[in-house]
Amino acid sequence: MADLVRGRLPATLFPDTVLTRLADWTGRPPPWGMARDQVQTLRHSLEADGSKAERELGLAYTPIRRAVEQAVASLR
Amino acid sequence: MKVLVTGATGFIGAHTVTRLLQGGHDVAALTRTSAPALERAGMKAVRGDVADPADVLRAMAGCEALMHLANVYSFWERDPRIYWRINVEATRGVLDAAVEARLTKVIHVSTYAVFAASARRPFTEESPYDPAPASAYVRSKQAGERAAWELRERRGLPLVVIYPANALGAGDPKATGQ
Repeated sequence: MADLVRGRLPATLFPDTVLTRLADWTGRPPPWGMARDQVQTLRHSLEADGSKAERELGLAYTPIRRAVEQAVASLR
Repeated sequence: MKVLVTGATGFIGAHTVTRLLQGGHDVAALTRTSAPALERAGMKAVRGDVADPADVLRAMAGCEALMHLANVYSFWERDPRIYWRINVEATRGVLDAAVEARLTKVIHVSTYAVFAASARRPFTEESPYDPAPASAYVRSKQAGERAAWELRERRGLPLVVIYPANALGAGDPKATGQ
């Protein structure tokens, strides 16, 4: 990602528990959706095998570098 | 084929409706809000609430297939009971209606996160569910999916479940698109 955007990625600390308690208190969603549940889910192992979709649906996965390039381009 | 899409105004839903219309299908959608672009493209919007059985039946009239995408996809809600109300109870209601309406194909959209931290890595569609989901959202998606499989077993729901991973891209209203 840093290579693709030609720069250093900003280091961001998400104090998810604090943000979630603040959201509970104010009734407003935490910034960028970074609630405790979100961060815990991202830390969970989400290692999926997509070979069934390749085999039965003909899905062709985009190489990771190309996928990140496309995602960055679409969000700019 | 006439297809009812729930969740048509969401990120995946809008793309799904567009592809169905491009494929020559008639598309009806149960929506709470207007979707001018999709309606201009040919989608028939039926205004209503996915948690209201009468609205669901009205939207399903004349349809042969269902794509059930409507769900609460978030990781924080002011009232967390909404996860259960929409992702489990409304899902059960929509799929029950599909049995009554004798639809020939029902596609329920789950999430690959139901398998996170499964004993088998990498996990597949055959893996056991995550025994301790990290979020209320995933817990409710597991329960909604169990309800769907139960309806297939008990009442012959013609069910297919798909498990999308993270969908990213411009137009995504969630944090992943910002």
